[in-house]
Amino acid sequence: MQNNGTKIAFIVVFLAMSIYYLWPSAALMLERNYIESLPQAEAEQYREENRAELQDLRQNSLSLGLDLQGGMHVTLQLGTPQFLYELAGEYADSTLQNIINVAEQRALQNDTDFIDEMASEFENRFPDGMLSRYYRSETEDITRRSSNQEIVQYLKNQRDMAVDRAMDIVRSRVDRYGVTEPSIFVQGNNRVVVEMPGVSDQERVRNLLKGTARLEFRLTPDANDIQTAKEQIVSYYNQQAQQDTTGQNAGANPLLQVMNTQQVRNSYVFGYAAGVDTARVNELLAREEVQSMIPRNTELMWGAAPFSTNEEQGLEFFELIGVREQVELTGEVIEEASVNFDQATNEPRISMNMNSEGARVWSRITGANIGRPIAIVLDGYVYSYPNVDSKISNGRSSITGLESQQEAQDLVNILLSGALPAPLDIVNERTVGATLGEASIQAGFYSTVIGLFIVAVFMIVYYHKGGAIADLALILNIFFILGILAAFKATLTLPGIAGIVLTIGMAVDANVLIFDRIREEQRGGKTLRAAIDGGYSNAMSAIMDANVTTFFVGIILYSFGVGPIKGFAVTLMAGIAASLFSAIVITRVVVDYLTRDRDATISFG
Amino acid sequence: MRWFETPSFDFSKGRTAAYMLSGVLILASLIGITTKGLQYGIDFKGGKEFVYSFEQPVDAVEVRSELSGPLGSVPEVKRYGDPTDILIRTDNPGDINAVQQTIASNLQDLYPDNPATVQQTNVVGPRFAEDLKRGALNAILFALVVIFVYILIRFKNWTYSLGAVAALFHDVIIVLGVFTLLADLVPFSMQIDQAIIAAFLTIVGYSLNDTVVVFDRIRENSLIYKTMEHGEMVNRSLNDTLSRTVITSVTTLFVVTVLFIFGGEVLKGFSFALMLGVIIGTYSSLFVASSAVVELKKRLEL
Repeated sequence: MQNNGTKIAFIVVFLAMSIYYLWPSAALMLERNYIESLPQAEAEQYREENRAELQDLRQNSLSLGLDLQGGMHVTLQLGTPQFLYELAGEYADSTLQNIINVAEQRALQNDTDFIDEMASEFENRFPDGMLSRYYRSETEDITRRSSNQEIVQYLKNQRDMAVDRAMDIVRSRVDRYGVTEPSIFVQGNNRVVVEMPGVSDQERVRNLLKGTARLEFRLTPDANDIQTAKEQIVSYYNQQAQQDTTGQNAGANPLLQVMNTQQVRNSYVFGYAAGVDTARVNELLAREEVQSMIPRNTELMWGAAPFSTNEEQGLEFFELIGVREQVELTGEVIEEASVNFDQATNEPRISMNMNSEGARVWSRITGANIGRPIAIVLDGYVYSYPNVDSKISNGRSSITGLESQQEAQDLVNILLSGALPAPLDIVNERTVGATLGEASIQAGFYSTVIGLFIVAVFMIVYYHKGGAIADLALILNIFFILGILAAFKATLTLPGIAGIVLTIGMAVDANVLIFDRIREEQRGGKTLRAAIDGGYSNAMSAIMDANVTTFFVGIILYSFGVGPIKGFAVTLMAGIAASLFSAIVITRVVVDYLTRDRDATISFG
Repeated sequence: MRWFETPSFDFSKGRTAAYMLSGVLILASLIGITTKGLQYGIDFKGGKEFVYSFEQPVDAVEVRSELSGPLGSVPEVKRYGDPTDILIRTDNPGDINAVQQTIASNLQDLYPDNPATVQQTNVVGPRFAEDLKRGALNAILFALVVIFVYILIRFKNWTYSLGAVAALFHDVIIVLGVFTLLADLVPFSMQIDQAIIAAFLTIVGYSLNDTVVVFDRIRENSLIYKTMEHGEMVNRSLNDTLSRTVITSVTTLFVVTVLFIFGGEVLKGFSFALMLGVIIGTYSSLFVASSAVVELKKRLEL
């Protein structure tokens, strides 16, 4: 009894804290309702005038998960194998490629670090071999004599740096895209997670995130070489076709079936094919015999934009263009980029300015290749290959062949954010539409209210006044849970709401244990006061054991789960903490208050 | 209102029947799991999943046959809540932009006057799925170990730990089995995904809650009735706590059922697992966990 002062103080403090943390959420909800009631124009104006205040409220309120407000969640993975292959630079060979492939498989199977697997695979093959055969770095002091452990450490550092850099680049791209409150963080040792509330144009975001933005300037090979290679390859497939006498297309040249090599625009073009057939063409050209017919320094690359369309059949045709393998200049020299329109064709164009070093190289290349085309290649696609009219000394260049102004703008954003150290693959993506999110909020809200109502009525029917006290505790309990979530800046998700509903059902457990115990003590002949004391103290060990074990489950769910499961785990743990407090402390204070007189009665049903 | 005021059920008598029931359920579950295999959802299998919302109801079978050709394999197509919403799941390995466009344009060809909008997409790469599967398995194993150790510390007797963990295995296997067997019969998704794993761990937590309360009473009673035969004392403890066990199960079952009915399509499988779990968990703490302790004690004393 004498402790009740402290208990009440605790209750008041927790209540005050919950109100404090929940206040911004409530205020924001009221503001939103108010804004929605205004006509469009006034709403815009109101939003503009109170921008700072609204922003502040939003930052401090309980945030809703993407499943509740709609949006996009993307997990990107750094292509570590490719990154490590490229890191070896000129030392890379087919053996290294092979080791990397094996290590990749094994790391996946054994759930081990890829780099460790790579080192052990290397040591397996070459017991006395030194990894320094492949990796050197003057700046990191990695030399021929460096031990394999040192190199493994160096590679891991390089990977971590690459992931950090990838994250910065992704952040810069997302910021330029203009999402309110994106959240970007690293997961594990090679993944970057991006959460973007309210995003609906999935395709655009995917391209924005994935693009490596490797801008390359390459020369074109001798046009005669491309023509010779083309003739050889076509005649190779003619021979193949003659040998093939089975099937309905027997005797037809498989390459010419999907590609036109005759009516090309100029001699740098190998041929053109419809968009749907490009994969087949790649497949046909990938054969080893065919590859050997393509001159050593030449590579065939697809154009980025269709050069002609057949509206009737809904087909778009892309050109396959011959370019040199050697990269003359990369996008790293680009200092400025902007979108404007080509005066003559009214098509969007990206104008770029190079830094002084880039300008010097650009001037040399253009000077030496007047009259010949230079290909502008981005992420493996040729955007344009303009003819050089004169030496360009001011470091200016431009990209044409873009489909829309939006595409041009996204490209500029990617260029200015810098190139990714290695490609990022989307390994997981979840998108939830805004309407579905709204429906989920509603479903969650109804579930909570109905669940609460049923349990509350049941408790009163079963435990009478005791039940009513438990109900009071239950309502405060939900309030505390929300307060805890807001205070810890947790995100409320649909599984989280499910966690709250579940907590409602289980939260009364502590009170059920206590009240049943009080009834038992009363049956044993104790006075009301003694029965209450006995009920609370005797039920305590069961309550603690039961809740601590469930709390452990919450911790485990939190540490192993990702995304939505974490949200569920957080509410589960918050629910246990809050329900323990309200079931033990709050109900005790109320029960004590109601039985403060010697002859007071209170019914536990 | 008072239920089970001073019950005097003979749980030890019901034990034989319970062993048979549990045996049959576990056997059926194991057969179901081994013959049908676990019905992994996209989280653990990888793939691409789209929820489209149409203006008018559409026929899933028609959509499936229309998309089979362009996607290169037969997709899984089913109703998703409302008759106007369908879920399409494909294992097409292509770029997701391309896959989504293929689906969108084919749906438009099939229903030119019934436009569809994407409500939800979910893409899980095979590696990511592999990682999630491993994480989920670790979580469940780790949870069992932690629980074993915690009970060992609190009750200072490993038979309790073993009894509790045996009951948890019992519950998880049966829920998993029922899930596998019912997967094709119910009109909502019952595939094993992340949410189901969360539900399983919650079942573990809930069943443990029940079990620990009973154990706690056994511990208390064993100090009061020192001369009583162990089995009888366990029986008494079960009766002492029966009222609480039933009331808590009832309130929890109430809210989980509400969640099942009103929680929306996303939570259907999740809340169904919880419903099963609460029922089986209550049963197992009454008949399985304490029985295991009694049996173990008996064996050890002989």
